[in-house]
Amino acid sequence: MRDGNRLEATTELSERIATALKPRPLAPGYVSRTLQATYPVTLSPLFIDRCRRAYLSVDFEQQDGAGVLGITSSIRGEGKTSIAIGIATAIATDTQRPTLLLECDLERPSIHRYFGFQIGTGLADLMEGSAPVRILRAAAPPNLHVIPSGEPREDASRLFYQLSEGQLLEELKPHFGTIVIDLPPMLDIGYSSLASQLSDRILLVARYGVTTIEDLEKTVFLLGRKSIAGVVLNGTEYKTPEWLRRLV
Amino acid sequence: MARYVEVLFRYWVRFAIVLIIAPLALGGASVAVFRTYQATASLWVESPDTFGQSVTPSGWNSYLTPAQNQADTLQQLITTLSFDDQIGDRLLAKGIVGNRDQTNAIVASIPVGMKVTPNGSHLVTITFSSASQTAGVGVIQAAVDLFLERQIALQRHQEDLSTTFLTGQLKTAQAQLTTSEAALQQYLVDHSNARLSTNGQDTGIVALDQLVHQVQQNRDRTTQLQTELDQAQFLGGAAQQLVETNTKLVDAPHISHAGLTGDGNSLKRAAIALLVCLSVGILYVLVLVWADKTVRDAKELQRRLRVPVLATIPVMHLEDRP
Repeated sequence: MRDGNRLEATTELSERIATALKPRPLAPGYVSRTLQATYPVTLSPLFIDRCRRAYLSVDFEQQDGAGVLGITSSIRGEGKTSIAIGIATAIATDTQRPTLLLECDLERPSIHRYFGFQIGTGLADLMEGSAPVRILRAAAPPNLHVIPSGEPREDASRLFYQLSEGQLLEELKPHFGTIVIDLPPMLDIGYSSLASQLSDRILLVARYGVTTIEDLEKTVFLLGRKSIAGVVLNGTEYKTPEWLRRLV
Repeated sequence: MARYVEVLFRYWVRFAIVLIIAPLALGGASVAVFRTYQATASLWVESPDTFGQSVTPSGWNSYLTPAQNQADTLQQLITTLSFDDQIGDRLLAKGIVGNRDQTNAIVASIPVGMKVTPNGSHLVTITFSSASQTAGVGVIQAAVDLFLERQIALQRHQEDLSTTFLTGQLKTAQAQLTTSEAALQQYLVDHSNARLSTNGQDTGIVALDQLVHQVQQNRDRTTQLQTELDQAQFLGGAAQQLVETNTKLVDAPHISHAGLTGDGNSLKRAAIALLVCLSVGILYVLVLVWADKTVRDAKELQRRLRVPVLATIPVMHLEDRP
């Protein structure tokens, strides 16, 4: 039954992606069986600009398909998902090309809370073959699409492994200019080394005053320094005056 | 470095307390509550050469200046318990201090609080720090009086010792001279044909010559002792006079440092309080920085991970949709 579903999902994938990408007027809250729209996420322009700055500093190697940018952190609560959304929004706005935000945090999905849709099915169900791909179209910018991870899974390692071994990303790449993957926190999962296989480059998010240097060093070691494009220091709250910080 | 500065600004209230309010409070209390006064007096010490010959008081070191000699003596005296107790007795007798406890407290502070410093070759400055102006002046006055009295008493004692000794010697010599003269006289009576030589040469009579020599020796000895006694009496008197006259109080005890700064100890205590608070503050910064292992600085992060920091995002809140 599952194999049958998986086959169906695979054959329908391209069709569903094409459907999702087809231009159409969308109203907030628009829902269809295969395609759902999201509420617009209210992001601070400053936040998006800082995310844009991070994205523009990433040097993607020359490639034919979409660039895949993974966003991860050492532990939970560092703002990884927010930054993934911010970066995806910035890319979609700037490039005007279809941009995909793929949620791979299978244990604790949270993107639905940002975009305001029901958690429903998602990537995990697709990997299990129990549901077709579910692509949501953001209310703004309209060329931003989201694939949620679905209900929280306890066997996330297995599904993540399947994702890294499968062809899903390869099939998605031709349809999108950039794919932003919201990866799980590296020190919380046992399959962190697979994350670098999914992404061309990885942005590591660290939270000011929360993440320890030691955890970051472990994360860099697990991911491999080469795959990491850089670090985004989130939630900075400097008390030192700007002029003095420049001096020291 | 950025981490240390950041810690300072992050916990600025705590550091303001440790580094500003605490030193101000402690320093202020030190200056206002524990105020001390410094009393000063000056002694002029004349050189022993004033008397025209090398008359030196007892314990005088000719290689030191007069001021150094007296300063050394006084400095040693104030470290003795008996001298300090005598000062205490005088303070009590004059009513400068009210009771024995106060006296004991002041007496205990004398070895530390009193400073005797030679100023130049002839001037000795004495200072004493006390919480009371009256006690400060009183202690110095009593110390100077006692010092001069002791010096004079010492000279008298020395003179007495030497004159007593020489007088005893002289009396013995005089008795021996009388005995020997009597023996010679008796010999001449017994031997009527014996005559003394007029030119001082021996007569050839062995017994007579021996008696004459004995008388002569005793006479010389008596003369010598008499001379020594006269000299000792003169030198003793001169030394006593020297002590009495050559050490003069030229600057009477008075309060030289008063007001907020006092004798400077208040400021020293304030400075110590400041240093202690500063040390505590620095230690606190070090502990805070050491204990905080989290990311606080992009440059440090870049250096430690050898990965570029592409962006820093200040604290802001992404609105969750319902």
